Amino acid sequence: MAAVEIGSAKKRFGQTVAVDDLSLVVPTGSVYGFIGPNGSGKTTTLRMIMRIIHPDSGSILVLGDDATSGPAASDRIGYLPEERGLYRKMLVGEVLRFYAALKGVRDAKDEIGRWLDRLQLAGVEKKKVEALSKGMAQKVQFIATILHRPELVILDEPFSGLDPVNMEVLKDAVLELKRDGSTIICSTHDMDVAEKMCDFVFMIFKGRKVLDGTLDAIKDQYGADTLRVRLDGNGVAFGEITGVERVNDFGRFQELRMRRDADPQDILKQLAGRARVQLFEIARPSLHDIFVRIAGPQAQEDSHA
Amino acid sequence: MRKLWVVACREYRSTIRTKTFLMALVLMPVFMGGGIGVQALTKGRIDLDTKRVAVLDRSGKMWETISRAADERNEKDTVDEDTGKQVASRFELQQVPANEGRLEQDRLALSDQVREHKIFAFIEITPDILDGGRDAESPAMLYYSDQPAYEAIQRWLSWVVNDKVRSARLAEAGLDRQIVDQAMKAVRVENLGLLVKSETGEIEPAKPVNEIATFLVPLALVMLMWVAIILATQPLLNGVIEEKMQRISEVLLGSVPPFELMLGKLIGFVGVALTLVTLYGIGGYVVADYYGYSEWAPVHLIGWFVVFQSLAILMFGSLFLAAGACCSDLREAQNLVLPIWLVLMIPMFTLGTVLQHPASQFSVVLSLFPFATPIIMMIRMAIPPYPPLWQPIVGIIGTLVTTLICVWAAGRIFRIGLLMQGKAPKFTDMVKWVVRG
Repeated sequence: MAAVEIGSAKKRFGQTVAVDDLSLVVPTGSVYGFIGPNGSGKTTTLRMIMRIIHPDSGSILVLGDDATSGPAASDRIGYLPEERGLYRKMLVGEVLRFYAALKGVRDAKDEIGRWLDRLQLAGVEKKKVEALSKGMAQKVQFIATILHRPELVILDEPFSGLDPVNMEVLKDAVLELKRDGSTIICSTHDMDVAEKMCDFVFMIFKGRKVLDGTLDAIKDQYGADTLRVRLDGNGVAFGEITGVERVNDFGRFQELRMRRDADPQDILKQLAGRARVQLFEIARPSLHDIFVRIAGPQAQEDSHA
Repeated sequence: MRKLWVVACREYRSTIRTKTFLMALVLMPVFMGGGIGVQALTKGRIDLDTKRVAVLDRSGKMWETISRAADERNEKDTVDEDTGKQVASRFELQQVPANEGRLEQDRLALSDQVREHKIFAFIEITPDILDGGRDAESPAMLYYSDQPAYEAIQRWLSWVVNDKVRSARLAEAGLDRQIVDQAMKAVRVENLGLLVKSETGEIEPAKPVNEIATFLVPLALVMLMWVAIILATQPLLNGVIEEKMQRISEVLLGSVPPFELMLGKLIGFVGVALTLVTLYGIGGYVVADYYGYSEWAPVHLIGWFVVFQSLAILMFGSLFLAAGACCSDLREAQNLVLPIWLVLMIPMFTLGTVLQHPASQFSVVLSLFPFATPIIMMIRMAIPPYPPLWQPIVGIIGTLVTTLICVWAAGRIFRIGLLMQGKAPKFTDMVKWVVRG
């Protein structure tokens, strides 16, 4: 059975359609990444899954329950809001015990201690939330989200503002939850995280689903139309090379998107004629690239045209 | 229901322990009693400068009396007998010869002297001051100064001169001052309660009405309830705004149904208010007992007080909660809660009238108006004639119904408002939410 099943859900706020005809199936035990630009309907979708808001039409089943009406309160779901979500004046230990109690966990003391150690937060229990660094607060928030061992964990931007070490720690914790059988929905702006961690990726843009599936399946849709190249010296005008549609300069290397009918061998020849080629790789586009293709300024212009 | 208690306990604990709350707890009585305290403390310390006053005695009959009285006052009343410390300003009078021909010029010259701070003020005594037949409305003494708020001189002068004027008029009429004084002596009216028959059948004498019982006790009860409402509802409002801003509300709503969440908060703050009342109550009783007034403590009203206090917190608290849930910062909230404040102020505006006429139709009707019931009914129950029992009961039922409606309506606004971001809704929007759910 799927953890979440959304069928043709629609939600409007006044004149704006926040989510339009959305269908989505999140299999139990998977890590599902939600991506999309700000204001595209991600939070609305997450809130509908949490039952905090109800769709105007369509069906939503969450853990087998109809989520189109009734209150949101559920001890089977854990939710981590973006960045904030903790009482600033309370002690870390108190906040965690409070959130656990709200989810019906009577004695969370040992569990809290275990998780604080696990996320390298030993000793912060007696600190006030406002005294924590952003990364620490985010980890505390994460513990608050999962203390009651929810079947479905919804994480809104869990990695934003984390340094690589904390990110690694938190990522491992998320994967541990997955191993224990939880289903994880995780919205993120970090395409790298989405690529590495998520079994499925779902992208919403202007309220509509634009991508949905495993990373491989998504990339297959776009085919191997990307060239990664590094050349000796600067000043190569890629625009003059026939067959190249767009250039994304990463500094150390460049990503070229080929025209559909272009031949990579032909492009390599052109490049070799102008500079020494250090790297030439035919690749599938990265998720980042796909995201930009869908929601970038170029795509916006195209859709307006 | 267990979650309701979890919420209530958190609200209670985190409020009671905040510094702001402790400060308010300590400062509130200081402010309330402060006015009196400051006066007592600063009495005789603020302004002890000698006041030089010129006296223009156009009657030619008053100077001697006044200057003698001033000397006497300077000697006796400006110094504390026990400590020998000066406690009031000395009045140093100087006579100015009256010249009817150039009165205006003299007045101007004296005014200039005041302006130049050579003298503090000057007094003009009219020629007909001792004339018993003169119009009582037209002033007989004129006090000129550039500090009209300083009244000590006028007050002292009026007392001294009036005394002298009476004596002089009596003497002129050939009457003995002593006999007249005795004849004019006022008689006292004793304010008594009613007589009752004791259990043994004896008639018990009526007790003299005590000012403490009739005014201070009800006033103290009202202030206590009022302070508790304020101190409990403000953190409630701030709390819900913090939760909204910090996106705690979303986490909470994912754990507790909105109505239970709101009710939990309200119950937490009823606890806060009752804690406060208990602390002040015990404190007040200890102080009263120390001064021997504990017999006037309204112990029999404690039960009623707790009921009214709790209802008031639930009723007003739910309104504040609904308002807070609709706003995204405190400033926005202040506008939205203004109407609630106005309703909350009704009992305070009408306090004086109700204290004086507790059984008037006005007071009865007001005490049955649900938003005013807790405070006004409490006053009436503390002052004789006490309201008949049906009135507080009807009052409680009315307040209870209103409270339920408020909590219910606020719950609907709360649920929707909590998730709104950006602009605060209009009042009509909120009504829509209540109606549609």
